[in-house]
Amino acid sequence: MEIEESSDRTQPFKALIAASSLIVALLYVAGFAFRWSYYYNFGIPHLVFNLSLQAILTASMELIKQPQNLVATALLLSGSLVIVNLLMSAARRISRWQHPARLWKLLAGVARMLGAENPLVTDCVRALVIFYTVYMLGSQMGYIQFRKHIVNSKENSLPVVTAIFQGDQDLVLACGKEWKAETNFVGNGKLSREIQEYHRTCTSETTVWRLLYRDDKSIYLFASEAEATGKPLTIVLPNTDKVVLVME
Amino acid sequence: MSQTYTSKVWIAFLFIAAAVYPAQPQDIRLNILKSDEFALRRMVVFKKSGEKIGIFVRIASFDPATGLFVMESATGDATSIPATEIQKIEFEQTVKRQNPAAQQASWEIRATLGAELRYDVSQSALKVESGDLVLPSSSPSTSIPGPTLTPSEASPRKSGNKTTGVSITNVKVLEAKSLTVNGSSKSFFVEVQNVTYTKETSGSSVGLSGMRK
Repeated sequence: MEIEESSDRTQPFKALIAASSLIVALLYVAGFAFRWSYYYNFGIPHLVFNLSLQAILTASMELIKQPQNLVATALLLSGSLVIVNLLMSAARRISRWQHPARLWKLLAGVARMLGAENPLVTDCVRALVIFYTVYMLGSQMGYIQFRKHIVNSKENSLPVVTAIFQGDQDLVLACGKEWKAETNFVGNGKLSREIQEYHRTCTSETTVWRLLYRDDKSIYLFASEAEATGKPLTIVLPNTDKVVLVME
Repeated sequence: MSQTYTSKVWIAFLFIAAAVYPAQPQDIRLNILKSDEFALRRMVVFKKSGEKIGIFVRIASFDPATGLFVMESATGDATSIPATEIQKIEFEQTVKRQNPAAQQASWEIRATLGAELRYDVSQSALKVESGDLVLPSSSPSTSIPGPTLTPSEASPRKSGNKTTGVSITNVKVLEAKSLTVNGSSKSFFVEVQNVTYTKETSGSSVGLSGMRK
């Protein structure tokens, strides 16, 4: 016992190091849930699979970056841990009951069979609760971020963008162009015509186009509006050397 | 005695003021191109040459003296078109549709078409202010016969029960339909229609996770 204590003193982060893989996994779950929920609501959840481990771990910091998020995370995590510990303590007591009545015996047997006194089971339950709470928190905060970003306001941190196409690249959907009746399409042709004819691809008094994401192959742009009205109009453009992005 | 005299003077003054400065009837202001909560709007210019132009996003100005419209495209390029070259301008509206998202109340908008009127507006009386078309309400008008109170295009209705948490907002708007140039008398026929937009909002049906299952 004394040897263990002296070992703890020489390695002050021993417990943390032992749990480091669990902490990384927890941060990964938080970041993944945050980004998944964010892109899912734009209709492009697959983008999460393009993100690097570092990007996802960084996203997990959103859970504590804002003061209100920090408070919500602390309260929900500690609250759920208190509840689960109380339940497990109750289950442990039930498993130790020595009551002659048949019902009590049955309950005690069930509690023992569920592993109420087995440290592995109790640790797994705790871990499960923590992971679930963190996943739900990440998901909710990703959604809040989505709601914030689709509204065109001064607080919106996503860059206002204008995509310019050089050369003779003929885009079907482009601001200021007439709709071509012979356009080929799959899906809602009326909607495509409406987007073009009602100039919905143009930035206007009520609509501002912003850059959501860009990778080697595609550029994701969406229309932020004066008020949140649902899923915003999102357009995926090919990322070629003919496309110039102007960001404000 | 003096009090009676004073009140008579005030009454006479009010009558004279009313006669000299009659109450001005309010102008009719038509939002022709700005999208709002209910509808998207656009216009198409039909020139006498047969050319059809749909790229304009704003009427910047109209000069009543010369009859010159200045219209802007999305890039801000201004084009001057004399009224004499225009056959008509059509104004179109389409109701907004919601793309459902998680944790948001779903809504749909319906437009019910009402009475149509045709105003005969002289060139000198037509104005364009902040992109809106303004015409004096005193302009002679005739009603256009046709079916009224028929539901127009609506966003697709969702099936299922909508028994609770439904709120309905009705807004009556006078929408511009067309502006036709009457070259012989230097005037315009402006057709307008009463439209009632009904926005039906129902509660959200998704959970906490921020994702529609």
